[in-house]
Amino acid sequence: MEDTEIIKLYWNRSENAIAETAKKYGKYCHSIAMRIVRDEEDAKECVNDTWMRAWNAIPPGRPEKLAAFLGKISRNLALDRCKSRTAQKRETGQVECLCEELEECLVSPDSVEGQLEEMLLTECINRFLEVLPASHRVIFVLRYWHVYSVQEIADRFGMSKSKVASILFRVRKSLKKYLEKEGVLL
Amino acid sequence: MISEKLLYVLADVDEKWVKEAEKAYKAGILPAQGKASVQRDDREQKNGSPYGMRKRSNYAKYLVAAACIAMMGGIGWYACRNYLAAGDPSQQGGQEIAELSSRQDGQDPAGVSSQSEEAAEKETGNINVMTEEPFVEVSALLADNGGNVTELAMHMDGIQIGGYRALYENAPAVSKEVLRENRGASLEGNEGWYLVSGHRDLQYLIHDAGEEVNLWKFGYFQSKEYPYREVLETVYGIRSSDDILSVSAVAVQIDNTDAGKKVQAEVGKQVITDREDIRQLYEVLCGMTCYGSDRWDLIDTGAADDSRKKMLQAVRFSRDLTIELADGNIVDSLNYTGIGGMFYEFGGIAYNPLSEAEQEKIDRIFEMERSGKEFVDWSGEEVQTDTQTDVTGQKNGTAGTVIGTETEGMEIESSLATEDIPVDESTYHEAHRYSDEVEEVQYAISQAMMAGELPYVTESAIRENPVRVEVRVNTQDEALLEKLKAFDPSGDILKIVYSEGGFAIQDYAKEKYTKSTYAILE
Repeated sequence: MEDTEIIKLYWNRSENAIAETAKKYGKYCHSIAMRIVRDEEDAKECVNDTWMRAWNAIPPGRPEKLAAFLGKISRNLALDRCKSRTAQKRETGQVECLCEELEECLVSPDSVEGQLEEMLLTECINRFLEVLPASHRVIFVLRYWHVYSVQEIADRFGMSKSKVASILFRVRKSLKKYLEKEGVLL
Repeated sequence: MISEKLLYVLADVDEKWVKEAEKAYKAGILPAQGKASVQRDDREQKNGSPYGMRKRSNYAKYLVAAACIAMMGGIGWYACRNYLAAGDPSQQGGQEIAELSSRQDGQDPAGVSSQSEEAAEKETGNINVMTEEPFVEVSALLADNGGNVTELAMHMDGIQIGGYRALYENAPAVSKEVLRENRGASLEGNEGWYLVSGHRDLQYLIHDAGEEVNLWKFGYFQSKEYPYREVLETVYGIRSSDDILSVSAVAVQIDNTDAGKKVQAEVGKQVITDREDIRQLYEVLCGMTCYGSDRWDLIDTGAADDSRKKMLQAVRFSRDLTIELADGNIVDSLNYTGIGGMFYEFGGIAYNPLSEAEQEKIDRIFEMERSGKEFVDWSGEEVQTDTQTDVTGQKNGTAGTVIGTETEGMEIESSLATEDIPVDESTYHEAHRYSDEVEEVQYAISQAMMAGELPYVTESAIRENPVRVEVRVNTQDEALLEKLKAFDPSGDILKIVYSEGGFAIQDYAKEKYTKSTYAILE
């Protein structure tokens, strides 16, 4: 079924909307969640929550690209779940690990969160990604959007782990410089 | 936490990047070019074709081949034309390739300058005036101005220059619009290849293929060996030492430990402006032969050795050069190692080892003073300070105190050992240089333990006292202990600690002299 038709089902509050969404994007969302939470049960719950979020968001929302919309929800839900799981176990988890890495992009990690304008930040990051060499961009997005581990990325592209880590390091440093230049103080 | 917020904000990045990464991961191939790959991928997806990297690389292959053929023809034609026009072959050095970058005599590498422009340049000596192009510093085109472009580059492409195929590395650059605005003269016969605005050298080129515009940095000639003079003249436009304004040298960042950074700081930055030094350096560079890339087997930086002292020594005797040219360009690819007595570049671009006389010149220019054949005495006051703060040395007054007291010709091993090892009760003993006897006893006992010959020995180590090997045992059986004592025929080294219930220490060596034992309750 086409995305527009699925969205129409949501707008008509038809329960088939969720069934059709699950049919078309279930595997996609599951793979995103699974990669982050690394647990079948947690991944399934993330995916179910994704359908629920979508149900609550459409209407009034009318996402232009349903796949991206759902993928984003799954990713963030999985990160949330990962975070809460780590907090319970009181150990360093995936999210903390990523956050630690991303701290290198910040001018001051202690800045007030309210200062951030998400839209502005997203635009900046998109512009930054635009000028990055494609290979670096791919590695950056795989790490911080898809949450692949450095080892997974290295294995996939036949690179050494240190090479991937070094590319990520440089990109993070460049992002920091770029954000500073653009006046986005994090 | 802000970084967490950033992580969540990253979820909102443009979907095309997410898709691009996903496709690359599925295909297991990293894209070779800039953002245009995304658009192309989208198009290919619409056509039902799979991830288009392989397809694109085929396309690129033909494009490059066509460009090479066209360029060869163009260069040949241009070189012949200038050869005949100049009427003085000696000026050209018989090198077609040299025509490409001869700024000094006003000839244009791309064959775009008119005769009047050349005349204008001769009059003013200003290339910017001649070309009527603004001179653009390449750093302004790099995505990360502070970064090392060579390290960032991952993809290569080649064009034919004279008799060589020159390989260029894709340099991370600013947007394609900015690159396009800063295109200089086109490379005749090579559609889409441009110099950087205001430049006459071939170090950086801009390739404009419509959808994709990229910046490329010269890497090397694809040849088993070639004279480096060709590169200096053709690519960098250096035709005499007068073209070099200055040479800056710092230690190569091959060791980022605290100790490594300390050595880098000690080496500092040296700026060479002495004309005679520059002339000598230029002469040595001109005489070098390059053996291409990925030839680490020919490069001896001294850093391949695992030991810390060798690594730090490699840092101390290394130089990362930045050559500032009279035309405003910067050449930053060369490194020098005094250990191997050779120049090299990252990527394993190897040059021949210098002759003794040449190395002497270069070492003198880079102020690599040596005492002894290989090692420099750089212990000085700092090491003395280390010695003074070395608890063990003061406490024991034994072998450990030799640290930092030797001077001429001393191996730097011991002083280095104290630099990055924290003074800690459990680890400080590692900072010592032990006597061969002590090490031999420790080694022999360790080997026997691993072979299961000493099951009653639970631990063996050199601890606070660097002239003793402390062995912990769980038996008091005399026969077994005799077997252990046999590892120390001199009886000066072994110290046995009994660890059953409370434990007792038997300093075998001490016992030998005092004939007494003592016990300490834990």
